[in-house]
Amino acid sequence: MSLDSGSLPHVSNIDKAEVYMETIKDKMTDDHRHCDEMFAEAEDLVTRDDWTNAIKRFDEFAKAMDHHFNMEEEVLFPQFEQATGITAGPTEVMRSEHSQMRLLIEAMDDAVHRSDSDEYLGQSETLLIIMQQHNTKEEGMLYPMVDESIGDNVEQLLSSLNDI
Amino acid sequence: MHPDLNFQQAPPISVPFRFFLTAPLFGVAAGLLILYLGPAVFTSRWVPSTLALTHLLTLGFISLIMCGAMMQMMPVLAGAVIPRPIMVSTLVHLLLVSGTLLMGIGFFRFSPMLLKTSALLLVIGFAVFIVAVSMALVRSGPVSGSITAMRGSILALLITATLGVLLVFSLISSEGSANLVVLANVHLTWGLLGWVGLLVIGVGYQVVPMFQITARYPEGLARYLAPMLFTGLLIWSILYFSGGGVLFRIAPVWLALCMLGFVAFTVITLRLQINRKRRTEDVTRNFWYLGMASVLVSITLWFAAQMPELASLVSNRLPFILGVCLLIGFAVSVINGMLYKIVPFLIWLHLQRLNPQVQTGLSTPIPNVKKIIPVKYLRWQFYLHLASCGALIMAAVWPHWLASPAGLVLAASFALLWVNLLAAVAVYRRYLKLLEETTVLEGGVTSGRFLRWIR
Repeated sequence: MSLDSGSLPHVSNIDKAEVYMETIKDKMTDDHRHCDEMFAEAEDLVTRDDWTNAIKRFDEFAKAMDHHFNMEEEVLFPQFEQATGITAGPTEVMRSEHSQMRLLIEAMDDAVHRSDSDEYLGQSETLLIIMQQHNTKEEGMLYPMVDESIGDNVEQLLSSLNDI
Repeated sequence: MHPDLNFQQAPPISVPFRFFLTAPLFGVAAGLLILYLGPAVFTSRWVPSTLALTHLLTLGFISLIMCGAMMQMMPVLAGAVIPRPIMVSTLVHLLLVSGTLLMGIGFFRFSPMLLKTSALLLVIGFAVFIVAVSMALVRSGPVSGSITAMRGSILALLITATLGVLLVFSLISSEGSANLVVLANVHLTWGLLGWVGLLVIGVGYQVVPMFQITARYPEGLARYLAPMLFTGLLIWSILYFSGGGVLFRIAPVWLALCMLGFVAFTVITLRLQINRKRRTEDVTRNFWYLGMASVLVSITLWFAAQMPELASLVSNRLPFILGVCLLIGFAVSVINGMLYKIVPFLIWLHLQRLNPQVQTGLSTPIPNVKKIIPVKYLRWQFYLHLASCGALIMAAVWPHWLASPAGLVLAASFALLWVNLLAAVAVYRRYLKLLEETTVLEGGVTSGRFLRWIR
């Protein structure tokens, strides 16, 4: 699996990348890294008071995050619940973390449009921690378990992810 | 398949915080002890009052926080919670705190009675902790490099604690003293390189890429380094225990190989951090840099001392310099950095969780993590900590004038850490009160218990 940012699929041309994607874990983990990079770039622009570009980068980041959440909530979590029979518990926690992150992204959105760097950086630090511990659980446990549960249906699941 | 998989974010806030809020006080006590004893601390590492000092630091500060943090991190890293968290943490905390206090006093006044009691309290405390954490580690989801390193670290703690009890009892019955030194060296190597070293490696695999947005550690390193180091230490112990002959002479060479494993981790960590994606100022990264630099300095000195021509230069000062570098420069630095990341986050998380909807309705929203411990105070504590490292290294070389002032700086650094953590808890209490006033808190059970404890 390549961690090279250059080879990461952009959200809009995800179909092109499909050929290289082998597992759900690979695809979703790469998407995490992609979001992380946009996060870091937006934050960097904020610290340099480059607000025009910061807003642009932040909007892309927020959109990518929303897309990622939707892929999970509409396809992966139901798949996990169906395969394991666990509807409460893991996916419930993941969904509630999504809503926590959505609130933080809203706060960052507000701060970036007000050019308030202190507020933005405080909210982004909070988001980073919750986002990373969330990703750790997904990459370490949830995705591998989804991969395990779907067997040969990877292609099918990947294509329903790409439809989101 | 994983019936116990638990994705919960965190155990009750009092579980880790009872450890975090008591540990810095042991650090202050250690600083004050150096202030009081002065140059005497740096005469021999086998002097009972020096042993009191090292155990205040290793048990009272380092181990207490590592136990609290591990209980906290289990759900995220292993997808498993510690069973009965309140009961387990209360028991472990009480046993370790009382055991450490008694051991400190026991060494200081050299009281066999107190030492024996403290050894028993500590070994029971660690046993409860080891059993509880092992239950979570065994039930973990897919095994990552982190989990493997943590399993090694827990086994190393078991070995360190067992050897510690053995040491206390043979010290009191004063059998052959040569044996005692060998046993003590194995005990401290397992404690420092095994329990602390492997845990830092395991946690580092996770938090370095996470918080600095760096590339990940190389797959091979993450998978094999920790098991190799653990096996390496095991083989070294056997060679070292052989007591003489070829095997005993190979032991230092073997240990040198193990050290190279730690060098590899340190160098790769620094390289990842230097090439990180996240460029914003982060004081916790400075703590990591200091920690990694201390490892490199310690290992360089240790290698230098193995060469006869250089050995006379570093002479009998080396054990003290190494002790300062590894305990204060490495372990305390990394722990401080970690605390400043997780304490504000946990406070934010628990406030947020009490009632997520409240956030928008409140006149004052829940503070973001940077408002929970202001960066200014964090930076001050880093400088104070850096100063204490420098002062203590100089004091190790020239104890006569510098020991007491260095002790004072160390105490001040730990005191400011404590104040910073208390300030964070004060923010928690203030907002909790605000939440209680503006809404009907249904999470009264958890918050109430913590409040009763904290007040």
